[in-house]
Amino acid sequence: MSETTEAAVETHDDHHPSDWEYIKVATILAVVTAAEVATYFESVFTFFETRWILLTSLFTMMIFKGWLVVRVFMHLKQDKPVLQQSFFAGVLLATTVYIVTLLAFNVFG
Amino acid sequence: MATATAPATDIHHDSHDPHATNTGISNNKLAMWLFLSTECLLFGALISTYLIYKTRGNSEVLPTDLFDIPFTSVSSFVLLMSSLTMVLALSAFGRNDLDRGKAWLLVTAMLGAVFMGGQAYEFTAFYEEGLGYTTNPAASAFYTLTGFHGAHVSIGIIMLMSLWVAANQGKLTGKNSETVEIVGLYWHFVDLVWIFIFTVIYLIPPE
Repeated sequence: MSETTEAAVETHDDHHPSDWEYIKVATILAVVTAAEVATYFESVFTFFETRWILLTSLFTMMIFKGWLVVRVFMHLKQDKPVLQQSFFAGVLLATTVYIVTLLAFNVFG
Repeated sequence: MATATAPATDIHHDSHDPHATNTGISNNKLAMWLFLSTECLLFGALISTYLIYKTRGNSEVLPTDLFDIPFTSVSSFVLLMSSLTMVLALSAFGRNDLDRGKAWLLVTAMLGAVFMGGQAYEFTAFYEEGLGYTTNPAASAFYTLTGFHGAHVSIGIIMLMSLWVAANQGKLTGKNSETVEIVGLYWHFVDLVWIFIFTVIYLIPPE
């Protein structure tokens, strides 16, 4: 835990990305969104042989997009580690609580 | 308690900065991050509720029967791009380029308004198809989730327009650009929540 914190402190960097870097990230987000939407169309949907492959692909793209927004647009990459810890504590708590809730309601079948 | 207060007092005297804190982070910024952390629990509850109730509609119409994915995709793209314009506004204020900063703030608010227009259109179309708020548990959960998100976007638009007015009155400059950053954090979070809603609620096909 302390190693993680030290590493985070060592990589702490006040340099914010340039406008061009923001535009590149937004372009990546747009492309990934297009890929997500493509799974809706039947020709692409049938490419995914099982539902689990489709779900894994969608969740991977969703998490990647969220990670980019938090890390680059919200500057969590450059900000102090205590902000990361504060935010991800909430994310982790919410994820744990609601996965348990969904399991209790047998939502995953 | 006394030992915790003492260094804070020292910081005030040493740096002569009335906003200095023990953490080196402004209280406003830390408060916004903590607020966003708690918002994860709120939206987690709303998303989970929808997932539990999404098939509970008996023989009546369900939200999943009415989704217009191409239309919602355009709305999602608009909100995603508003995150770009928000961060460009912050970047401009950081450079003390106030004219460009104000322009990007206005564009961000307008993109948010376009997203809200899309949501109003979607709600109206669903209602005309017979899906009211109390039609079935799935409809209630859907409208509550997307309605709460829409309320957050609306509050964000009000905050953006307040910043724009303050900038026009000369009250917002490059020196206090942290205010723009804090509103930006809120705006990006609203976008982040929509990234999750769009995938989990709209794109994952029913079994």
